[in-house]
Amino acid sequence: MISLDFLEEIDAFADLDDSQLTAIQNCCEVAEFKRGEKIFAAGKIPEYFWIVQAGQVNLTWDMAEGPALPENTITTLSEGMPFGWSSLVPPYKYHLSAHCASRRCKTVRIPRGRLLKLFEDDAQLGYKVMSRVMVVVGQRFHQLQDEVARRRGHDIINRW
Amino acid sequence: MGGLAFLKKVDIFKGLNQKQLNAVNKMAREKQYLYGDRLFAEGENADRIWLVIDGKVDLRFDLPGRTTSEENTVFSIAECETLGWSSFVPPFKYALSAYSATKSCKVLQITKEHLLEYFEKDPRMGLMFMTNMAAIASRHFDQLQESATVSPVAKVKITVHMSTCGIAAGARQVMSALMEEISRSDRQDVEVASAPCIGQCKSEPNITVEIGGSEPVIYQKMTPDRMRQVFKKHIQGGKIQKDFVLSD
Repeated sequence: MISLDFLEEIDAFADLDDSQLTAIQNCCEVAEFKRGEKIFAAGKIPEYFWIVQAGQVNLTWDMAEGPALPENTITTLSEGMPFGWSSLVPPYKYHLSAHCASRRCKTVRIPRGRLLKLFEDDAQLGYKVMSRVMVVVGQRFHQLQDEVARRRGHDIINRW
Repeated sequence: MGGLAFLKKVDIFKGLNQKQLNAVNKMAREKQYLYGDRLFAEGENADRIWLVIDGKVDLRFDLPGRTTSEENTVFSIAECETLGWSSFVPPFKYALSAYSATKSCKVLQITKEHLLEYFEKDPRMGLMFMTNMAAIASRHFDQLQESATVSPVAKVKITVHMSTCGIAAGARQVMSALMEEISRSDRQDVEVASAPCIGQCKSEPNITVEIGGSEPVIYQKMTPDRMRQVFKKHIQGGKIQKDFVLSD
């Protein structure tokens, strides 16, 4: 079982009290992946909200079907970092793909239906988590924006 | 003021009840802008959200030292839509610049401080607001991905191969020269991309030029001067610069 100590260190769950953390703990599952293995694919309907428990995960912007290319990596996530925010946000569709980027990686996944039900039952929990999830969405947007600038060549100009 | 009927239609307040909308209505302040007026600039402190009542607002990537241009519009915000989600995301700076894109544009501003104060008392409203705002950011995320992969007016695509070997050989300077030429020419149909090495390290920096449906042309050993020549004579003049073309 995932410990409360681990969960309370997760940014997305900051400010939650022990009973709220316990409710989340009861929904957590563990999933392990090997290097290069796909955790989820862009465009798919998300089933889970994810957290890296150990190892690294690459979020990639795949231009087409095929292997994950290092140059398409938007960001690399390490222990304690959440991903798969699309599972909690309409229209519920992954924007990026996620792959295991270390020899092995261990993730905590929470079925989105169960998490959304917790939000419904305890609006304060939902508000706190979604405020933090909004920050994750914003960070990903900024990371994507940097990548778009790089692809457009604007970053070269910006360095002048 | 936009009033309750307006607030009910705004994307960010979807699902709110009458009491919650009334509270929002009291926090809102109306402002009007003319065509080309800037509502906020990229990098400025973000401390409020903006709701478009009338007209349209463009969110643009502004290039340093250049005047703003419609071609740098990443997305447009129409009536009943919201902008300014950066005010809820560290470092609390606007990620893009916003300009009035219609003859006149009327907006409502609501400060983050007022909203957060209310959400403390009514977390269900806070939950709906945050979910709606994340959905708006999600839509912008989609649009940004699309704007980077599809250029509806691009007839010409120039790819600069910018792997480590290309950069060491001067690919960045080539890219800079290219961007200067595009800017001088005022061409709006040129898409620029960077891509990995083509496996010909000795011939770096390489660029690939694709015009319309014609066969891609790969140029080798590019320099800023060669880039300028290729731009003027091939892109502008239609004449392939055979001396620089990579041979098989």
